[in-house]
Amino acid sequence: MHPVPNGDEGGRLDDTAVLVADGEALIVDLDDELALAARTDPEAFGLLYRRHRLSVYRYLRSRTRSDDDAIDLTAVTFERALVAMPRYRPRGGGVVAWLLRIARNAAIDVGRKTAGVPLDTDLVDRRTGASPEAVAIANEDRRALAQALDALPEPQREAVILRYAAGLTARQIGEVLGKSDVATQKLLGRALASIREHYRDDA
Amino acid sequence: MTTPDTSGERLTRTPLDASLGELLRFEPRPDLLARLDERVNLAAATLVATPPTVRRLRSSRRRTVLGLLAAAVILAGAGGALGLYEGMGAGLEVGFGLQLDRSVPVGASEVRDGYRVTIDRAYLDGERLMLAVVATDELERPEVSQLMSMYAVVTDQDGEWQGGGGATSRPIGQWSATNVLWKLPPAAPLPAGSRRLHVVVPHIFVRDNTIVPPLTEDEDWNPWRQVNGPWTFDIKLAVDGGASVATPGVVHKIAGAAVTADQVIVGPSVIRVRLAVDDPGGATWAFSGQVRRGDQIFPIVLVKLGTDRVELQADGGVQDASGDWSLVITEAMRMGSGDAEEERIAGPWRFDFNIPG
Repeated sequence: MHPVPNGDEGGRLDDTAVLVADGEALIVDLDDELALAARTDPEAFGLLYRRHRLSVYRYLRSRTRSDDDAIDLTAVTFERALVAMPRYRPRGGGVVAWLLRIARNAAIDVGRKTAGVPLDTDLVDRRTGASPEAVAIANEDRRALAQALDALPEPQREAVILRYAAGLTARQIGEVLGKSDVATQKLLGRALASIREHYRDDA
Repeated sequence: MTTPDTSGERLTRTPLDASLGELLRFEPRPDLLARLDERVNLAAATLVATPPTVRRLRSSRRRTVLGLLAAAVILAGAGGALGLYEGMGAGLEVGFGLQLDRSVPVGASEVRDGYRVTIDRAYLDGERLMLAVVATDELERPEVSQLMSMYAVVTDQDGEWQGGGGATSRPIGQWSATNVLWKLPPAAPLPAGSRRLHVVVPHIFVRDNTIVPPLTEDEDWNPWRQVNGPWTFDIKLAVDGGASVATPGVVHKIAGAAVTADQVIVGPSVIRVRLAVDDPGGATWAFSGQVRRGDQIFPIVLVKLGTDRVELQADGGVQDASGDWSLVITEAMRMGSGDAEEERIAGPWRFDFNIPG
């Protein structure tokens, strides 16, 4: 087993509450526990929200024109999740994939009115201390990459955003998009190959 | 056990991965985040206040969840309450309940690079030390999504304390976690009186959400990053109840292996059994069963596997250990090396022993 944070005698920990002891490990999926509790308890929902708000926001920010729009849609996502929580059933992708599916539907609802939103290419390099020349070059790189991303067919672009903005695995992305693991990996592979091609040409 | 340093590990494997990660990892402005928090919290409070008909949680699940929620609520207020650790017994629920009830507040705290580690409570008896530790990221770094501190080095006048009691951790929101760890003295039982203990937490772990998950299952992927301390504490604890040691020496032949009940330590909260196994086949062994005194039954809940030595821990203990006792092994499990299958061998085998008054 790959080394992960341990007590004295082993155990594993990721998105779980873990009870670890010698030869025994009770691993509880924290998200699923919280989702069950959140049906009746605002504190549980609050914990769930804090665990995933950044993933949802980052995904939505890449699909909206402004920070304000992304924040509003993030709020809509969690409000819808709250209402739908009694219908949540643990699945392979877990709560985060379920939330991202709600977020995607919320973004699609808005997108129907505003059409496709290109990635914000006015984003500036956030690093401090870099020289103006370095910042200019970095910003130009970012614009080229954003344009390469925007040039992708929608399912490919969506998969890339879910992976790099929301941090989902292929399995979770597949669950959001309704595709198998293999199909999702192929989709991402084609997307990255295409970005590489355009990005290299433009950069 | 040494935990390897993973501080430099990143799963952004190609320059393109890194560039995409940097491009898309948007950070919300604090004022907008505050607005979002307020709106969602309000919605949660309003909607959940009038819940629909809800399936009741199973009792065990409910206990876990309620413990978790209690932890979250209590941390927001004064620290150090017992509810912070409910349900964290790692199988030793009866013993842990006693340890928790009899634990004393310590409140020793140190901050390194904005990470605060606090020995919140502690319990010491003649057989083991329990430390309840709270780790917090006081800087509330956005990249940190979870913390844990399940490792400490404990020394006293007799030397370094051993592992063997395990450890548990439970996150409380994004920037804090409660942790419980157990240590066993170099030589048990400890005499009555008090002990000065030097406790060093050499490192903690933070789950770093800038470490991009792999596309597929990948054993090398590790979102945890080691943060080095050390956080150092000197504490003095009274030994709350002693422990009694028996050396039954009873031997049973189990599937060709000689299994000897070498040592039994009966403590106030846990009973620890050491078995010596002489197996010509060199297999790894585990055992299940219970420890009994009259109609008192202490189930074995933890097993430390071994080839020539197996340690068992039974949940619960007694203050006065005198009397006739039995270790009853109801099933033995032999695990061969390589592809050999696990073999389950039905008992029972009984190892009697007496602890004088």
